[in-house]
Amino acid sequence: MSSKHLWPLLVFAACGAEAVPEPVEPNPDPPKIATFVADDGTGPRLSLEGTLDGKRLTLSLVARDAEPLFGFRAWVRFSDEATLVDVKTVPVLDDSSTALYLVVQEEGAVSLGGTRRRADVGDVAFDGPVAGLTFEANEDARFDVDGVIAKRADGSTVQLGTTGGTVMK
Amino acid sequence: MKRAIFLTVVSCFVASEARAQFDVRTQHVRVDLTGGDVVIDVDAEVHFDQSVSSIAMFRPFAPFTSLTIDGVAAERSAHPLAPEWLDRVTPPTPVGPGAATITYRIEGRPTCPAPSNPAAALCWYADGRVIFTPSGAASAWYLVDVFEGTFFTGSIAVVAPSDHMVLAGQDVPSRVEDHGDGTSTFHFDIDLPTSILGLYAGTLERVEGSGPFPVVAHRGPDAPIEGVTEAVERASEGVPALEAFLGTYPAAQANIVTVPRNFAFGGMGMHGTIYIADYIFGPYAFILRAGVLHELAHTYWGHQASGTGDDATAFFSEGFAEYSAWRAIGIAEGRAARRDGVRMNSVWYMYGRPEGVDAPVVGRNTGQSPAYVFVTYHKASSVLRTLEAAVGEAAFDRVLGSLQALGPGGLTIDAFVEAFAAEGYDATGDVTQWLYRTGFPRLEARTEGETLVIDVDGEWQLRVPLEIRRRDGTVEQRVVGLRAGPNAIALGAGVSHVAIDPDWTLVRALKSDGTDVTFDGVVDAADLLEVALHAGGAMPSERRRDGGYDPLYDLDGDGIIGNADLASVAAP
Repeated sequence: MSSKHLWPLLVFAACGAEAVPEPVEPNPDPPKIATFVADDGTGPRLSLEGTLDGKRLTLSLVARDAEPLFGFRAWVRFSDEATLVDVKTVPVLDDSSTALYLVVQEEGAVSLGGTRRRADVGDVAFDGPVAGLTFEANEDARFDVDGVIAKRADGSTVQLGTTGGTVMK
Repeated sequence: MKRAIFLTVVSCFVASEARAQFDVRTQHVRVDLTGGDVVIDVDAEVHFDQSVSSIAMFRPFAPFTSLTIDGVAAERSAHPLAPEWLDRVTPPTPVGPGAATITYRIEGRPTCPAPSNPAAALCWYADGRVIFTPSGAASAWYLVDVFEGTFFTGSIAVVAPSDHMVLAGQDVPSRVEDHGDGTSTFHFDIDLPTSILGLYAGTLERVEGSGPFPVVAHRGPDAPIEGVTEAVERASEGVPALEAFLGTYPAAQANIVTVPRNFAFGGMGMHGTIYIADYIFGPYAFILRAGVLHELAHTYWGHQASGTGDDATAFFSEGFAEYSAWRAIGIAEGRAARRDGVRMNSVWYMYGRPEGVDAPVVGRNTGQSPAYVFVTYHKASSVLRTLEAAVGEAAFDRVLGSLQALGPGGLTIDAFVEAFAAEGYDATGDVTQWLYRTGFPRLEARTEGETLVIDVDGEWQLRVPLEIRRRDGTVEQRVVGLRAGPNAIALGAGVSHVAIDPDWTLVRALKSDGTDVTFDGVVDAADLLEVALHAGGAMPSERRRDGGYDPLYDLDGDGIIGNADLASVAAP
C-alpha cells in the first residue's frame, strides 16, 4: 500500500471512535469588560491615561512631548458617573525644597499643579506622570482636562494640548 | 538733557523777573584750547523787546576780559538777585528796543562748582579732557538769557591740538582746518535752533560699537571697559530702534563721552552726544540699559523738539526721553522687557517717593519739588505709555511725529492735546488727571461668580486692558472703562485666568481681595505659579534698579514677594 492511500486511514484512526464535534459558533453577545479608553492625542500635551479594576479607576495625568517648564496648573473634570477618591501630585518639578504643589477639589473637578519656588531656579524637564487620581467610576464616566496654564521661568507660556478619556465597555 | 539744572537754579529767583530779557537770534562762538587757559570769544546777535538800562547775565566759568553791547564796553557788577552766579551788565546808555550785538571774551581755567553741590563740577578742564556743559549758573560760556531759554543758530569753532577729538554743536565737524602747527580748527554748524550746547575735546580712548548705527565712546581712565563696551553696543543697537518710531536720527553718529566722577550728574544728553559719568559704567552699570537710550533720545526730545521753558518743558524732555528709551528697548528686546521697564518706573513713582512727597507732572513748583524726578521721569513716561495704549500705537506714533515737527521751543500742552485731537482722541481728561493732578489709582479686584469686580479708589477714569484666558485655551483681549468705586465686568463662563493690565500700561497699584491673583474665582496652583514667578521681587532701594516688584503678588504687603506670600496661597 502506498502511503498515498494510507494517510486517510491515519486520520480516521486518530479520531477513533469519538464523534466529530459540531463546529463552534462565535458567541454573538460575549460578556464585556469595561475599560478606560483614552482619547487620541499628538503633540505636547497633558493626557489622562488609566486602568480600571472593577469600579476602581486609576488615572495618571501624564505630560507628553512637553518642553521644560517652571510651573503648571490643570483642571481634571469628570462626569457624574465618577467619584473622586484620591488625588496626588507627582513631584515632577522637584521636591518641596524647590517646588510647591497644590490640589483643589470642587464638585466634578479637581485643580492640580505646582510651581518651582523662584524663577531664578529655572525650568525643569516636564515629562511623564504629573499627578495620580483614583476614582470610583461607572460606565460612561467621562474625564477631561482643561484650564491648563503652563509657564517657563521667564513668564512665557508653554502651549500644551489635552486629552481625556471615557470608561466604556 | 538735564535742563532742570538750568531751570532749578534759575527758578529760585525767577519769580520776580520771569520774562526773557532778550532773544538770542544768532551766536558764533570761538573756543581756543591750545594754551594753558581757555579763551572763548562770543559774538551774538540779540533782540530786545524794550529798552533796558541793564541786563542780568550768568557769570561765566572763567573771567570776562571784555564785554561790549553794540560795540561799547559795558560795566559789570554782582547782580542782587543772585550775586554768586549773576552779573548785572550795564551799558553806558540804554539799549533796545530792537537788534543789538553782544560780544565778550572770557579767558582762564574754567571752574564750575555746581550751585546745588559745590563739590560737584559742571565742567572739566584737565587730564586730556575738556568738557563744557550748557550755559547756566556756574557753567556759562556761550550767551543765554538768564530767565528763559531762547533759541539761536550760528556756529562753534574750536581750536585744539590736531590729535584731539572734538565734539560740539549738533553733529560731526562740518570742516576741519589744519593749521600745520599741530593745531586745527574744528568748525561746527548750529543749524537747529537751540539754547543747549556742549563741548568735548580730548584724546580719550575710542571704543566703537559693532551694531548697525555708528556709535563711538570716548572712554576716560576710570570708566571700566566692560561697561563702556556695553553702553556702546546698546546705543549702536538702540538708535535704529529709536528711529523706528521717531524717524531718522539727526546726526551722522552718536557719541558717548565719559565724564569724571565728580560731575554733578550721572548722564546728560546733548544733540548727538551724551555724557555719562565714569562711575556709572562700573557699579551702576544697571543704569546703562535704559540710561544710554534715555540720553540718546534727548536728541529728539529736548533738542529736535522741546518745550517753551514753561512748566511742561521738563515733561516734554525727560518724560518723553524715558518713554522713548523703554519703547526702544521693547523693540530691541521684546514686549516683556518693555513691560518690566514701565513697571519699574511706575513702582518707583508709586512707592519710592518719601512719605507724603508728590507733585503734578506739570506744575508750577514741580521743578523745585523733591518729587521732581519721581514724577517727571518715572510717572510721566508711564503716562505716555497709557496714552499710547489709549489711542493705539500707530496713532501715537503720528502724535510723536507731529510733536517732533513743532521743533525747538514748540512743545506745549495745548499742542500735545491738539496732536491727539487730530487722531480723533480727546486727551484733555488724561492731561488733567495724569499731568495736572498728583497721585495714582489704587485698584482692588475680586471675582463674584462670572463677574470681575474692580474697585477704583479715587476719582479716576481709566481704560484698563484685560487678558481673559478661558479653560479651552482661547484668549480674549478686552479694554474696559473704569470709574471711581466698584466696576462690575461680566466675564462669561469658563474663565481660567484674568490678567489685569498685563503690560503695565498704567501707573496703578493693583491688589487682589484675597489670594486669587489670577481672578478665576479659585485659589489654586495657577495663583501659586504667578506668585512664584514674581518671588524675589522687592521694593528697589535705588532709582532705575528693577527690584521686580509688583504689588499684586506681595500678598502680605511687606515689600517683598517670597515664601510667606507663596504660603498664603498654599494655605488651606
